[in-house]
Amino acid sequence: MAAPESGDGNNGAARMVTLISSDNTRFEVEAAAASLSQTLQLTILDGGGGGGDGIPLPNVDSATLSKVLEYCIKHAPAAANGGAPNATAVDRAELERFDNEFVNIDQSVLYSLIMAAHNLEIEGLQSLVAKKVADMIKGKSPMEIRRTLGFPDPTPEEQAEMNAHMLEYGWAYE
Amino acid sequence: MAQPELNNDAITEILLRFPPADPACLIRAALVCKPLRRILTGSAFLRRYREFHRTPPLLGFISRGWHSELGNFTPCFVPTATAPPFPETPQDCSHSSVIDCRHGRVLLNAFNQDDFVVWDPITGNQEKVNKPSIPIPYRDYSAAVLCAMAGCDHRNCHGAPFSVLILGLEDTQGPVHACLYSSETQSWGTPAVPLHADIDSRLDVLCGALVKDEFYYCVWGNRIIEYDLGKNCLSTIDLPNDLGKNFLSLIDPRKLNPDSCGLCMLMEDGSLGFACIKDSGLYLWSRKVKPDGDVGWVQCKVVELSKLEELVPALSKKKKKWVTELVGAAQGADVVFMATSVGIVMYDFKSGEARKVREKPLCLDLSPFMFFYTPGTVMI
Repeated sequence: MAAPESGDGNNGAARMVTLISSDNTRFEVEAAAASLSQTLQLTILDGGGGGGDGIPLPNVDSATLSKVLEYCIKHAPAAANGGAPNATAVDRAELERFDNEFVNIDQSVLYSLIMAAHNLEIEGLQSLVAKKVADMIKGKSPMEIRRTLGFPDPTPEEQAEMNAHMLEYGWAYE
Repeated sequence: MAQPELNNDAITEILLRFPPADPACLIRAALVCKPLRRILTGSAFLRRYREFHRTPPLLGFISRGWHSELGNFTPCFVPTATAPPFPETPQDCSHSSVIDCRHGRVLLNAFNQDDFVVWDPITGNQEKVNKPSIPIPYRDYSAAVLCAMAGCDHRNCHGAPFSVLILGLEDTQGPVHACLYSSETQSWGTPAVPLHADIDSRLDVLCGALVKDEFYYCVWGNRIIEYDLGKNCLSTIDLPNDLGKNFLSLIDPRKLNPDSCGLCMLMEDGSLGFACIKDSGLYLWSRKVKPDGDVGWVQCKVVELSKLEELVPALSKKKKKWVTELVGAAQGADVVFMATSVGIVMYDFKSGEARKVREKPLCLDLSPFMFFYTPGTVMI
């Protein structure tokens, strides 16, 4: 095994941590990848998550956590380079390709991801998913936005109010 | 699987990424329901939205056009995006030309009057500014309106004090005069010491650029005049060397070749930019600190105009010569406007997109209007 260039001096093996999803699935992942989460980074710096303990994540289910970790593992090397100022154009293009494919998923998964990214404070992921959802809904009508964002259908009074506003802002529908 | 619920924080993150250049998107979102409207019109969201997008988006430009009801040429708004209805120019300014538009205000020059008018289309405020008592020839001067609030990020500066800067060229050999008006004292300050520079040119009502505390004007492609607002002093800087002497002779005012004038613009990265058309190329330079520590021009873009589809008709009409002139720049957005024989064409240096935004121009006074039009904004 090649000698590590950096790391925590743990005999060359990257330090691993265990994360436990809300439905009790255990995920073993490199500390560097998990540390993309600002919340997890603090726990990991305090020495948590190693050995048999594991860090419980009561707000994130296993399907979502697996997706979150897929993102973190892919982005960890670039993040370790301080936002990757030295990254080659090829590396950047590859990350961009990954990101585009990564968010090409069902809306419900996107929503789970944005909530998880928010809870775990993973800025890049939150930004990526929020941008995707914004692109999905920005051209829609108020009623479509309402349904997409999960608001209940309007009451007759609310509908009347919406109609009045739509007349007033006709230019926004051209 | 039931759709997970989004909380207000997640919704806010999504709404923050709605494009400011298409204000209709946020307006439609604001019509969805009260909870969304509350988020979108809250001062916390609006502040974050402006910080997130930094430069106010280009909504269109103000230029003189024929007003059939008034029966004259009057400044009017030409949208470049899905833009909200824009208020009409105040009636008594209908004969004005548009000199500058910056920080949400429009500077108009009333013909046959001794006044400028500073007009805020968002608030409807208008204020007369008497012209200063420095030599200002009929044509060879330029002026700008600037927000004067200390520490302002210029993303939403209405109602704040403003300044008007005027630069005049006494004759083709100079000297250059400059004077700054303050809305707080409602008077012009002490004129700057006149600059005796070998300018051999003329000043035109072209857009200038504010970069930090300095204001820059290109003098008909010959030199760039720098005015330090803090020190009230004038100096000059040279054009990019790469332009060569050939360019300088091309833009000799005696030959007056309208194909090749340049203008100063604030770049998105905050540096001073200089754009010009030479032969059939659109060039962009940025003033940067070079690796050797010197400050100088770095060429950042060259665009072959004959490759822009929108300009092909202009080229075929006038085969021998390009009748293309740079007439304006959106400050901080890396966008320029060109007047061509087929109309006004907007070019975005970042996306490489060219778009015709107006049929044949009648007047070349054009000032881009940039503003965060967000829910809750009311134009009077």
